[in-house]
Amino acid sequence: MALTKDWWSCDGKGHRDPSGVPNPNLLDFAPSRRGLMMGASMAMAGWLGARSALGQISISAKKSRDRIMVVVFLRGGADGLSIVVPYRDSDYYRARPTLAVASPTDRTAGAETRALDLDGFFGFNPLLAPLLPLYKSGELLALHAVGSQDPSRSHFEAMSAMEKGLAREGSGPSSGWLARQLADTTHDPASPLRAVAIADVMPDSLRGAPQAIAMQSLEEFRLAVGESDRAAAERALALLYGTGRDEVSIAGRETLETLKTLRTLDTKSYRAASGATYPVSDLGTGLKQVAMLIKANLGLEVACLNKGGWDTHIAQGATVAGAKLGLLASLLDDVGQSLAAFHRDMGAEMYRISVVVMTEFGRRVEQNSSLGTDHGRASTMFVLGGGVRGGRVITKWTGLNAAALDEVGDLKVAIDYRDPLSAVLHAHSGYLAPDVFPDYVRNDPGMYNHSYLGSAPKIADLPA
Amino acid sequence: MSVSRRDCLIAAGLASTAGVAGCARVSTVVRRNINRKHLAPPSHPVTPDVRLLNRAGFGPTTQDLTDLAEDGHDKWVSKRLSDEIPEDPLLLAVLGSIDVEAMDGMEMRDFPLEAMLTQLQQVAILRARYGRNQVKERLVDFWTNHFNIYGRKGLAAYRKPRDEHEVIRKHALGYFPEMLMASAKSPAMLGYLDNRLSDKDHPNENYAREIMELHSLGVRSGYTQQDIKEVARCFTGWTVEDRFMHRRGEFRYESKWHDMGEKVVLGHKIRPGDHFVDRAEATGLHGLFAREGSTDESLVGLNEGEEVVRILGEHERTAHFIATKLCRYFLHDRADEWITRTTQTYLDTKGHIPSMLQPMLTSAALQESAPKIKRPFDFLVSSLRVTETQTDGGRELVNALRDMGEPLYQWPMPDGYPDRTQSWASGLLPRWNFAIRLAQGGFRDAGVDYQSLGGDPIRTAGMILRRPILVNDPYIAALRDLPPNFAIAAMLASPEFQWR
Repeated sequence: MALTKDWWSCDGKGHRDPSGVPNPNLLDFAPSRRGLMMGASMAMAGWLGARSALGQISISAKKSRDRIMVVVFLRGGADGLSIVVPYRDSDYYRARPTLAVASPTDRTAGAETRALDLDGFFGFNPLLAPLLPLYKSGELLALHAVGSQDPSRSHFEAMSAMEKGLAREGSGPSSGWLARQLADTTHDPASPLRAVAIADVMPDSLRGAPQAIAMQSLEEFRLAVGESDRAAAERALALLYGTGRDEVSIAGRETLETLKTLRTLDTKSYRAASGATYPVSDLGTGLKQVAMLIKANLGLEVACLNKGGWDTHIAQGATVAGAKLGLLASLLDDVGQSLAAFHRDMGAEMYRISVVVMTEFGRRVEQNSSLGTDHGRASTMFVLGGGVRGGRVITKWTGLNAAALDEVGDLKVAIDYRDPLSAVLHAHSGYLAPDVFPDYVRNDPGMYNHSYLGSAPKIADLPA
Repeated sequence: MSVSRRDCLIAAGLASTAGVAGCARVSTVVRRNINRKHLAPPSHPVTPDVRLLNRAGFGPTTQDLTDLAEDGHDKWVSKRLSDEIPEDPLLLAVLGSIDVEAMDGMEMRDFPLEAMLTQLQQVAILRARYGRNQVKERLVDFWTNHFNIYGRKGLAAYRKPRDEHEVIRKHALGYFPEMLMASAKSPAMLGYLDNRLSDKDHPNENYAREIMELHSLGVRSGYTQQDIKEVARCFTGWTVEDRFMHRRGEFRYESKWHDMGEKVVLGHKIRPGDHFVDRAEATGLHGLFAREGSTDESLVGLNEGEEVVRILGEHERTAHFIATKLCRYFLHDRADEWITRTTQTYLDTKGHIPSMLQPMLTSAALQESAPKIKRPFDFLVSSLRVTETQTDGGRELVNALRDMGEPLYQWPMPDGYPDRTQSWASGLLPRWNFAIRLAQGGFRDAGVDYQSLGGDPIRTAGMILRRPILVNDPYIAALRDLPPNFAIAAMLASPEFQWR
């Protein structure tokens, strides 16, 4: 069955036989004659059918009323107890002798190392100071003791469960929850870029999403050809990708549409509004890209970003002065500054945006021997946006004493992570795809203002 | 995906009652799962030889096709699985000129991190491009991701070169339990997953968890949180030399840090000194004895971690997990029969990797299964190979890998780069740009062989896709009126070339 080594060195003339009949000698070399012929003719038919659908994208310049969800996933299991600090819970200080963040009134600690009071019980890590004004103005909401039912304490299981919208990893659809919501709704005129992941790799939450693309930066999102060759190159790619119904061909067509769309965007001369300064970090520059896309009004509905490095088994630290080399310090500093810059830059647009900050699980209440913490269960979540009824920490706090914790010594999950997520989806469109969160009964944590919910873009149910 | 005319009209009618004019930007419920329902696997024709070289290696070169035609699949595969292929002396000479191959990584501590990572990747690109034992190079990619180490954590980049040789390459064609033991004692892994700092007072669970979840048993395979804690206790004291007199950064067992209490792991009782290892066969111990002149006293308790590795290496769930991963990587996602068969082979041969792979790589399942997407490293290397590109694998290609989303040794999480189509399909543009740049001579240190590829675009297409281009091939339309050398780029950028 193996072919001779030089079968491909035919001069190619036979391929273009004007009679249109393939060279029968060439067919003899094919792995399966019938399969090859069928493949070729089917591909041809598909190509003719699909060609006319290309190149009909028009972008509405109208002011959009659409709401946009920005999901920032803190990967590695972020320590909620160091982010939204339960400083009035004395067990916190017992379990974390060197890692705890000092209470706002602790005179023995330096002023810059004390928690920033939120509600008399919880306080922000001082490195989140840039977010405090947003909390106070009521645009930022914190949730505590949030998580999934996944007991594995495995990054991959827990992330996968959350990104698929499941209670726990195991059964259920393999597509992402955002993907299912996107697949179940649409916009007209169609946008080539409904969802973007500012990432190297498409996150699982967008797995299977229509019109979703992963990119590292908008500026680099262009074909590496001179202006004179661009049309020819794009035409060739459109023809190559014009036929297939496989994931790569579909993604290729979407990439070509996105290229056309983004060509109108002048990323180089972008200036953030109101003097907002984004940190030069992946998250900071990522959010800046998202801001550009939103302002360009291209029909973006979902943006996903990652911030890794939260798996602080060693040298976790807590605040800058408390543990100078701690890993959390630079992470929290970046999160605070990036979100604050995005908020400032978006200005009034923030009204139609919800930024969700989430993580796959929190960390063990008791610190370990390496000045770090091991994998735990519940953690914190933020929702930042115009319609949010913020300035609150929503939780069902039962304390950090051994009796309140689970059998391993972890903070129990009091709020299903899907409660806030479904609240955001509902506030954004008044609609949840039926399978967006399988086997889940919606439980509204009361996150949004009533007027905001009332003004959500209406969804029209189609008759069955 | 677009809304049908009718859907849009209905939506407009309803929407206008809500005070929204026309059809603009109204969210509308449409048919569900339209994307998923309409998905079909790619069906391009591929010859058996090309399929084998795409799956078991990094794509065809003329030389491989010649060898394969001479030997036939069985012999070609077995020669490589038994590692009988002498390496290309020219490749060895080039590798010898790269610091990270010529020196010990820990002696390179004054090298910048970026230089270490670049050189490590350069070596990987060169070996995959030129390595004569393509099966081995393919397995190195597999095992490197299986035992993933993030080069930007701590000293990992300086420890990784030795890990690559002593764990991955040394055992890629050997016995899996031995690779598992080597990895457990690899300073790079001990640092990456924090076991380096684990002591009896507060055992660190990071490595204990991942060795079971990702390296051996697989997740949800029956171990409990308690097992994780017990395994962590067994590994207390497994650390890395870092004191003044011990700067070589090798594996070190610190009995003072070790928890000497009894442990129960997966139902097995484990006690210090219970199972003193047969030193001749214990991987990695030779160096320790020779250098330190340690007495048995200082090694009391070392047996416990080794016992854990042995339990895991012999475990039926490990056999199943490794078999599943190999089948998914080399065959396809639903190869249940092959998983059963390969699991049995693992158990019968004590995890002998070539015995598991020989039937798999020569199977009809490998030939008939739906294509798998190439990860960026695979795409880059197969592009170089199919175009017979001569390269030093240097910084430009390393940067291209980063742009395509797979900078080697830089996946932060211990599970390695994903192997699913959906993870990679959305990142086509950097691949297209790589193809364009390579074809148009845009890389100073990687030039394609225009002599054999240039000229008639249809001939070029046949050379790159390694199949006959028939008169009604849909690609033919794309090959007309292209800028110079763009036919090469177009074929490397084509959907077909993204699959293996």
